[in-house]
Amino acid sequence: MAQLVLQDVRKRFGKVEVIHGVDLEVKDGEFVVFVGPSGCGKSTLLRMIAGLEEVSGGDVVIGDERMNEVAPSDRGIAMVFQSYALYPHKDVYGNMAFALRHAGEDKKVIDERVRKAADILGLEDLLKRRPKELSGGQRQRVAIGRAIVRDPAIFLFDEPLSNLDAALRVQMRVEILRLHQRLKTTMVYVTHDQVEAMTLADRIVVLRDGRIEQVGTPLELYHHPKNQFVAGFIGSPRMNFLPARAAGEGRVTAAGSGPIEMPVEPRAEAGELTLGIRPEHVEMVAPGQGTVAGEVLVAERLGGETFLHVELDGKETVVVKADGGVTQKPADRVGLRFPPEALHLFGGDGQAFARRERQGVIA
Amino acid sequence: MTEIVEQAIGRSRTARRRRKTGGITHIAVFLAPTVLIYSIFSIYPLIESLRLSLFDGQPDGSAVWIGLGNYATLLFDANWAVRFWNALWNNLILFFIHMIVQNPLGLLLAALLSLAPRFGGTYRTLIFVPTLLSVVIVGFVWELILSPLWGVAEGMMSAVGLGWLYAPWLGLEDSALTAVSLISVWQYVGIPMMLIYAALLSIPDELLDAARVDGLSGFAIFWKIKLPLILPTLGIVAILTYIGNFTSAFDLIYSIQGVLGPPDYSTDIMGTLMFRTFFGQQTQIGDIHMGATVASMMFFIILIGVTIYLLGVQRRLTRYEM
Amino acid sequence: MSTVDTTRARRGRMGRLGAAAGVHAVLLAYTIIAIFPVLIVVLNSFKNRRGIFTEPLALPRTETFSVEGYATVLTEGNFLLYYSNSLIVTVVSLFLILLFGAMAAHALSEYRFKLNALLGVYLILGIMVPIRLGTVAILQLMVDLSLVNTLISLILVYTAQGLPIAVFILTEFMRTLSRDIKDCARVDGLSEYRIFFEVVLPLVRPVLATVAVFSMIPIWNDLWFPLILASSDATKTVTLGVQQFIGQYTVNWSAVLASLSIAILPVLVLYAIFSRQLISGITAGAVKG
Repeated sequence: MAQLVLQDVRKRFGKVEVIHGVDLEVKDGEFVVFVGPSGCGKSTLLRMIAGLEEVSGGDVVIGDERMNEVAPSDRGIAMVFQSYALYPHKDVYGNMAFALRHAGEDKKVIDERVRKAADILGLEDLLKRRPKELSGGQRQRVAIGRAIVRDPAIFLFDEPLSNLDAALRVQMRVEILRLHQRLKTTMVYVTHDQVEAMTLADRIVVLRDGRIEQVGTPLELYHHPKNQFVAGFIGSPRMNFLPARAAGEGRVTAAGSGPIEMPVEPRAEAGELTLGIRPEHVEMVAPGQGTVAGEVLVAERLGGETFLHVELDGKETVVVKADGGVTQKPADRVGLRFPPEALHLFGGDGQAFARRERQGVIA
Repeated sequence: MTEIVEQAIGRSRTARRRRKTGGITHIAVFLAPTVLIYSIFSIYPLIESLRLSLFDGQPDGSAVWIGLGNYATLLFDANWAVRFWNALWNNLILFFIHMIVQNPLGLLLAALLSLAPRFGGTYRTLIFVPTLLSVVIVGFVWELILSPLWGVAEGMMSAVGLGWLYAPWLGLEDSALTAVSLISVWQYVGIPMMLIYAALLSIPDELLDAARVDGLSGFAIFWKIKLPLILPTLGIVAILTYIGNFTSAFDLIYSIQGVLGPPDYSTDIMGTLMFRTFFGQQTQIGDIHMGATVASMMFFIILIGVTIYLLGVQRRLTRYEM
Repeated sequence: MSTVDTTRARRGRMGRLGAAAGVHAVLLAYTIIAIFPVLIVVLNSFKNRRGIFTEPLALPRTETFSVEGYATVLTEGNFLLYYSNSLIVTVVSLFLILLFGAMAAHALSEYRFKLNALLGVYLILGIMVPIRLGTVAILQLMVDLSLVNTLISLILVYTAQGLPIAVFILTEFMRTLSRDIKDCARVDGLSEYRIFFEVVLPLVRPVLATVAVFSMIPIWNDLWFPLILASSDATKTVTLGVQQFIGQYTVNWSAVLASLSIAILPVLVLYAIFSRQLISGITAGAVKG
């Protein structure tokens, strides 16, 4: 087990810098998830931690040793790859034992560790199979087992669930969580799926264009996004954004609404403002009441809940997460209430106004 | 419900004719040209050769069925057998030299190229140049370079102090076959190189990353991961080398050494033997039945090789899904 | 932060540099071996007899420069004709191989019918067994058809020779094409023929290029069949032409070197232009096959 420190880590491919100085401390035993849109540099960063990409600038420290030039196998890490990267010419046992055998580990020790890992992951009956005889979920388990066997200080996961179907993904997510609870090893996990990030992480690192946008616990990111990008990225369906104008005394107007009192610390802001509210916080009220009004465009009924896409009179669209039983149909007029304590406000540069803590809404 | 269906059936009966699904005419049309040309100019001649090998030509031009008589002559008649076994033996030496020189060299070059060095594309392009040239041209080029008359090879070897090693290899009984084989290796090494290179490229990067995380160095990755995964390709290279021996090797020897496989039949192979038997040369009249017999023997020899490959080698070399 | 890493790091960097140098040394050495013989022939073809023998490794200088060899070749040989023969044979054979091969591959990959698997095996036989083994009967056949000493005889043989591997590669590839796009065309009312020509053929164009490359080299360079089926002056291909020209002019070194260069240069020029496609074609084909 070990902590991981990244200090002003940079990556250049030729003249192009793709990681622009990342600083991060991951505590021993922590589960940290890197999340961001594709091309944000999250996989590159992970590969630099693993030693598969050279570090162009800054330091990668694992435990208390600077690892920049150390070979991947000497860093005390184990990695689970997106395509599982199982050796097709070796059976499950051979795959899991491979690294230890190569390191010249004692046969008995290898056998013990492989069997223990197989036991944890329920692979006992598959040890003699070749990768091609396994299902996707089983391959994923073997890939994780291969990592466990190495008894690493840090587990690195590179989008490990993205090749699985939806149902299996949920199941494996739970298994990885249980694995972390059981092993209590530091884990760094890369994904583009914010649901995975929210459910797995102790702390989430949101990356964009090779920079960290925000680091925090899932609920910190949910309730206190630092900027519009994080606000939009975390949460599903994504937060509604409406252009807004300052109306004085800490209030704004948006989409034809009257002045709305904002739960934020005031700050001098010259540019355009953006009002943000999550679909699950919008309340449906009778037409004519509430903050704004509009017409239902589409109703997506999922059974337990319904997503209503409402076109406001100002022509912006707002998504409302409503009860599964709502009766509104397309073309119906509805009123929407924005509870003030649930609102977010962003400046012209996309930076969020600091939100005031209020009655229990904010964790 | 049933009413609707009945009405629909009635309407479709009375409606104008529509195109129907199914039918096999188009399948036949698609297949006909290939099957015809291939059957007439490839399969039929092969079968006809097998048939001709069972007959003996008469002075009046007719042919008499003699069963396996021609094969008996080829294998046991003193004059024929010595040439046949000599040619077959030379073919096997040719194959052996390709297997121990050409294919390992191709593997080495491919492995180095797969490391994606700078100018890798340029190296690959230039190394493939000889493969494009006609065997005839290659043969003459090397004949000139190795020729004691011109002295290029001798001059260059002298320049590095190895002049005493030089000999007119193509003209010496001991070295002619090896020299010809190495020329052929020089020409064709690009093919195994390319096939193996392509196979190496098809190994996913993540697998190699995983091996690095598992602590393997570049060399160990090659031996323990890459090589096992490209074994099927090496098998294909081996069988292609085997078959190529009985075909393209003729062109090279014919253009460098002529049809007699000189000196003293030391470079005579099945191809030259077949050509000579069929068309004849100074001391021997052409004989299509014996020619067909030699060709048929080559057919069986190739068949044996291919069978060994299919049953023995290929079955053990599993193709891995990657 | 500790400093344990420094030695390990330095060794790592030095090792990497050393390895890279080794890789380049081997590749460069073999590259020289591969092209040196070709270079030396082409270089010396531009020298006079004296230059060829006294300084074979030098570049042509003013005193040694000469194109007398080329003059002999162009007046004595009939290379323009040989070239056009080779070109006709190669281009027409390739066209037939690609067209017929694609048609057959389409039938084998698209339709389920009784003889499908059997036909596949029947065609694969042609990959394993060289067509030359049937030479005896091919010659008889061509005599019977009065096709000896015609380019048609060569075209037919080369087409038969090239079809199996073409069908094999194309079938493998066509199996990976989406059914949906063909079914979509069917719903749109296209006939099976138009589906092949307008939907399938454009989709397999890159593979056709691969097959063309595969099939072209052995046809262009073949000596056996031109020698046996079409050795008359009017039907000689370049390969055979050069072979026989050199046989006649063995003592005229300038002419020999010039004729070799004439045979090499166009191939090199074409290769310089198309090498990227050619190499990627072979690589792609190898991955598939």
